[in-house]
Parts: sequence; structure tokens; C-alpha cells
Amino acid sequence: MKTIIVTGGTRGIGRAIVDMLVAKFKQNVPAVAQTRLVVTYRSGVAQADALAAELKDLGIDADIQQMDLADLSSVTAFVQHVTQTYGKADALINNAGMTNDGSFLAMADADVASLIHTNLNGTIALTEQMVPLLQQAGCSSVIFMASAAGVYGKEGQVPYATTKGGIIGYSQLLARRYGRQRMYINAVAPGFIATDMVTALDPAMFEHTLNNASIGSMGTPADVANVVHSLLTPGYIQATTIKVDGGHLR
Amino acid sequence: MNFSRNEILDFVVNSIFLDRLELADDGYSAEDFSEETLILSEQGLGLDSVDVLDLLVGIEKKYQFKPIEIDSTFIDEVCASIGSVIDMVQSRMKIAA
Amino acid sequence: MSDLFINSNGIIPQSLLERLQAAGRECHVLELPEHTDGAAIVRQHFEQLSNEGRYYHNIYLDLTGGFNELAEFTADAVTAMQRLELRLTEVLKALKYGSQHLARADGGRIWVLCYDHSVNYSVASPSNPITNNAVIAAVQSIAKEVARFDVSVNVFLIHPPKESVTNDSWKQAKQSLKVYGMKYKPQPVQHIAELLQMYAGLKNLTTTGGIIPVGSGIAAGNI
Repeated sequence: MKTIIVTGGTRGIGRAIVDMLVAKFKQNVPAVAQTRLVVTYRSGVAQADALAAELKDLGIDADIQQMDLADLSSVTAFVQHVTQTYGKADALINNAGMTNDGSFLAMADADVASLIHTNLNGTIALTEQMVPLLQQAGCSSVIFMASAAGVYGKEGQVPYATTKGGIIGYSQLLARRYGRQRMYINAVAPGFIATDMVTALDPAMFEHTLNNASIGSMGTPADVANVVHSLLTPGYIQATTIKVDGGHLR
Repeated sequence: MNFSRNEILDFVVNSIFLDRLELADDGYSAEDFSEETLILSEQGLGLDSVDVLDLLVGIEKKYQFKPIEIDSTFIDEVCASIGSVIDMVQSRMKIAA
Repeated sequence: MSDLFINSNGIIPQSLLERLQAAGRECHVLELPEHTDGAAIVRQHFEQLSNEGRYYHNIYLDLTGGFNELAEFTADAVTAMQRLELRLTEVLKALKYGSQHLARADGGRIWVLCYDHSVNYSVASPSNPITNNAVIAAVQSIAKEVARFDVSVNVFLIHPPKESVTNDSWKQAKQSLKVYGMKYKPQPVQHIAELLQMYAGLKNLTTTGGIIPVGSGIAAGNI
């Protein structure tokens, strides 16, 4: 039995990843067959309950756990749970994260600090604690949800981009340390993806962004989930960041 | 050093909005502005916080103020309308005097 | 107009500092304490200068000295994480206060100095992929916001100079590269400083948000 962990998996791109894994599970695709899915959420209990119910209807008994990346004790408690329940982790999909946007020169120090603490240090803390469980699996995958902002920068998102760039760097550092232990470590950098948060915006706010992508339209959470799923199969892709951005400015 | 509200209005409208932020290119002219003009609101000029930095740095230089502590709360309160910007400029002049 | 070095302990900023001073440039140095958030010192410094109506033209932020993430994480991940959080917080604040300062000065340049971590595969040099990638993303983002104030922000991604690595280490790297002419010729720090000085002296700088490679191109995995 494999254990696949998806953090922040009850909404947005995280939810699409869960849906993709479930669909593949149902199709008996080898990479996810015989899998126990562990999904974390931070505060949306209703969404977590809804996901649990939906999965149960599909005949899947997923393990849905509350975990807050900003709280080290919460991260540690989650890792203890995985250790005691499964004793190993075959895949860790680090999707959870947050953003605070606005003009950087006018941004409050607290808003910057919370991003670094949660997106970067929280993700690193979880991954570092998970390493023994990933090693225990013998062959494992670690996937980080970065962002196009972390690859080529984004105005209005300076600290967010900083944390996502940091995540990309951490994927490289982790690969240097554990790449020879059959740990496959990569990052995915979504561009403009049609999550609920984005589709609620006035189109005038993002039309120019769509025009800057050669595809000319938004991506879907499923587009990102597809790439995440493909990275679960061990191969020669290592310490790489795959952009899922519709060909932004290329 | 003292400036009337009209003088400050003239500077903010002509030097910052029309010239520096190039709102003239968007079809605005001086007659379109008054103290009641909203700066941040989409019902007004709909400027973002980076545009507002241009405004505040321009004011610092013009009136030789010490650096203004710029944060999002300050921007929301002071830069709501041209009138509230003029209030801020005049209150800082009193401190400087 | 003068220039500021935020940290100058590394041999690259030291060499650049000497060159700039020898050329008659006024330079100031702010050394920030290790393992504490020194951003308040930076902020206070800029405030004092602004109050006096004095402004810098070039601000150098040195990240080539004093830390090695690969070694730190391998030794003790918890301490490494604490230091990382502190370092990035300090860097972002320095970039913020520096950008504000230069915006008030009608423009200027911020230069961040980093070691290219790909070189660590060959010689014993610092490997800081987290800070490097974080700072590159930060610089690319900030540059887009402050270009309107004629403030440019760039990163020099530098191969460690000859003097920063032992001869044995260079020799070993050279010997392990057996293919054709693919041999390391490490650059003396003076030569690197010369390039950086050239950028500092440009009257018109037409690059911002740039990752400027400084190296021989052999191990340029990240440039």
C-alpha cells in the first residue's frame, strides 16, 4: 500500500490534484493504484468534510487531516500521525501555501514575514520531518507547488515570488542531498490558473496576462494536476521546475 | 512655507496625475479633478498602491518633507481622495513649521 | 553621490570597494550582525541620510559571504531553517528600504551579489540555492515595481573567484574534467571586481530585474 500526501488538498489546485489521483486510482493506473491518500487542510472544515463525503461516495477512504504550515507543532503532529499510521510516505505533494499581494514598498512587515514563515519555512519544516518516511519508502517523489512568479518574478507579489523562488531552490538543495537515494524531487510552477479566486475577478484585471501567454487563455487546475501526476512516476526528471503557464511571454 | 489648498491641488493634478502618471494620455484633463475625486476607488481614478507611491514620493520632494512612513493603512486612509491628500500635506506643513 | 555596501566581508565586495575608492568614489559600509535581523540598522541609516538630503547611487547587498545552505541543512536543518528565515527577511527589508531610498533620490541602482551554486558540484564553494532562487525572484519582482522611479535592481550571479577556493580544490576539479578543453580557469577576484565596477560606472543603465552571469560558463547550471 502506497501513501501519497497532498497538502492543502481540499480546494483550488490541491483539490484538482486529489481529483486527478482519485480518477487514476479508479482507472488502476500503476503509479497510484493501491494508494492511501492523505490530504491536509488548514481551516476550511466544511470543504474538508465535503471532500471526505465525496471520496466516500466513490468508495475511497481518504485520510483527511488538519495541519497549519505556519504552526510547527501542527506540522510535527501531522508527521507523527503519518509515522504512526503508515510508517512511510511514497509521495509528498507540497501544495499548501498562501499569498499577500500589493505594492512591496508599502507592504507591512508582518505580511512579508507570514509569507516567508508559512510558504517557505513551513514547507521546508514539513519536508525535512518527512524525509525519514520518504526514505523508508525506498523510492519516493517530492513535488513542490511553486509559481511562475517564483521563476520570472511578478509585480505586486514580491514576497510571494520570493517564497516560491525559495521553494524552487529548496527542491534543488533537497535533490543534492537525497537524489542518490531514489528520491525524485521536482517543482511545478503554474501561471494563470482558473481557480475560484481568479474567476471571481473582473476580466479587465487579467486580460493583459492572458494576452501574454501564447495559448491566450487561462490554465485549469486539472492542467497543473496532470503535470503533478506525471511527476509521480520515477524518471530522469530531477530538481527541475516545470512551468505550466501557457507559454507566458515565449 | 505654506501652500493653499488650491496650490496643492494644482500640483497633485498637473504634476503628478496628468504628467507623472500620464493620466492625460487616458483622456483626463485638469477640469476632471477636484478635492472630491476618489484616488483608489474604482468609482474614481482606480489607482493602485504603486501609483500612489509615485504621488507620495512626489509630494515629499515638492514640499521637502521628511520621508513619509508609507504603509498600506496610511495609503488607504490618506489617499482615499485628493481632499484627504491635501489634508495630509497641510498637516505636515504645520509640523514642519 | 556615493555608494553603500551592505556587508562587505566577502573578498568580492572588498575588492570592489577598494577599486571604487581608488577611483575617488565615496563608499560607506554597513556591516550587519550575523544571525540577527539587522534590517533596523539599514532602515535607520537610510532615514538619517534622507533627513540630511543625502542619497546613494549604488547600493551593494553582499550575499557571497558567511553562509552555506547545503552544509547548514546537512548539519542541522532546524538551525538552517531559522537562519534562512532570518536572512530572507533581512534581505527583503534591505531591498525595500533601499528601493524607497533610491526612489526619493530620483533613481539609483541596487546590486545583489550571489555565488552561483552550480559551482559547488566541482569545488568547495558555498551552495545557496534557496537564497539564490528566492533573491532572484524577489529582484525580478521588485524591479518591475520600482522601474518607474528609475531604480534598477539586479543580481550578479558569480562563480567564486580563484582566491576563495583552495588550489587543491581547483586542481581536483580541473583533473576531473577530462573532456577536450573543458578545464576550469578560475577568475581572480580583481577581474570580477573590474566587471562590477564597470557596471557601477555606467551613466545609463539599461538593465533591471537582470540576472547577470559572472563566470567562465563551465558550471553555469543556473545562469
